[in-house]
Amino acid sequence: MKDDFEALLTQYAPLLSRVASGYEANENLRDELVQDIALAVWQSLQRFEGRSNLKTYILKVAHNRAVSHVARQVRQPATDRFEDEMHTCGAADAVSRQLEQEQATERLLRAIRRLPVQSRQIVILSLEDLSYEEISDVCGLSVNHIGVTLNRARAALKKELTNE
Amino acid sequence: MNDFEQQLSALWQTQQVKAVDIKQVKKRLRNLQIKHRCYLLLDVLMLIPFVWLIGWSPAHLSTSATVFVLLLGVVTIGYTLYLGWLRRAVVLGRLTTADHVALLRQQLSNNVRIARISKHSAWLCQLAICGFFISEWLVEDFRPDNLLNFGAIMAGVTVFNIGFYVWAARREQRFRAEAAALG
Repeated sequence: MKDDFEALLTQYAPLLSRVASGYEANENLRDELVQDIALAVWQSLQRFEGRSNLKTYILKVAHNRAVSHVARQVRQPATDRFEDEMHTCGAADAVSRQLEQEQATERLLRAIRRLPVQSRQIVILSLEDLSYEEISDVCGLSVNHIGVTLNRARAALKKELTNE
Repeated sequence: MNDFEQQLSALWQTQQVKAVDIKQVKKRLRNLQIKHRCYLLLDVLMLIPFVWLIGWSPAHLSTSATVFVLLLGVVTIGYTLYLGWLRRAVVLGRLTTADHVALLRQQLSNNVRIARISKHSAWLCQLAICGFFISEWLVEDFRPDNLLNFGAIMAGVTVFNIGFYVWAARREQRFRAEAAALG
């Protein structure tokens, strides 16, 4: 069983890391959050009854843990601004396509992190290719609500990304 | 999916990701299990003095003392069971995020209430102690050395209560901010 959990955690590690990046800007704290999420997933997998899709179940655990992290992080000073400056300094020298791609990703992540927690979760789940029904199962909201929130969030993202 | 959504999805999926340190996860899991077992052991050990007092103590207890010990034992068992219930593992996968957030809000709201009560208990306690000393001063004939002792005690209690008030007020503010962060 332990080997199965290890294999699952290894398989889903990129997914857990992407979820963490949607909630935490600071790199060290993000690493901690990935580990916290992995621990929560391991503990919860012991009670997985197979009633839902495994990916949906893992995403539910990951988001719940990340939301708790958001609440707890009000104790820490915000580090987003510092990281922004670091990226801007690096941008002056950036010529390669790889760097441009990284900057575009960073802009997207910043815009996502500015969304309210609920919208952020819905956008992240949608970016992970979950259907409206699956997102509804994770969030505990109606499919209609998901649709409306997702449209508004996408519009906000578009506005923010085109304005930058 | 339109172009913008495809672009977002591509960016999202190609972001750099971190590997999970499985060794560390397993270590933390083992530590949590050990901690949990230690708590359980401590809960059981708490009952030993009561069993010893009632069953094996060489000193003969009066009826009222036996009743008192029994009552204390019942309260301790109830409290132990309650603590065990509180420490039960919360399965995050069974809750939707909306339920999880509602639970967090409820917990934070309880914490705010507890912190507020603690905060106000500090000045109420100070007031009660002042009232006690004033009544003692009015009734008793204090000698100067007695007054000095009371003064020292009052100063100590005041410093403690001010510290306690500040600590509780900060906790209240922090729990409020945590609840606000949930949106």
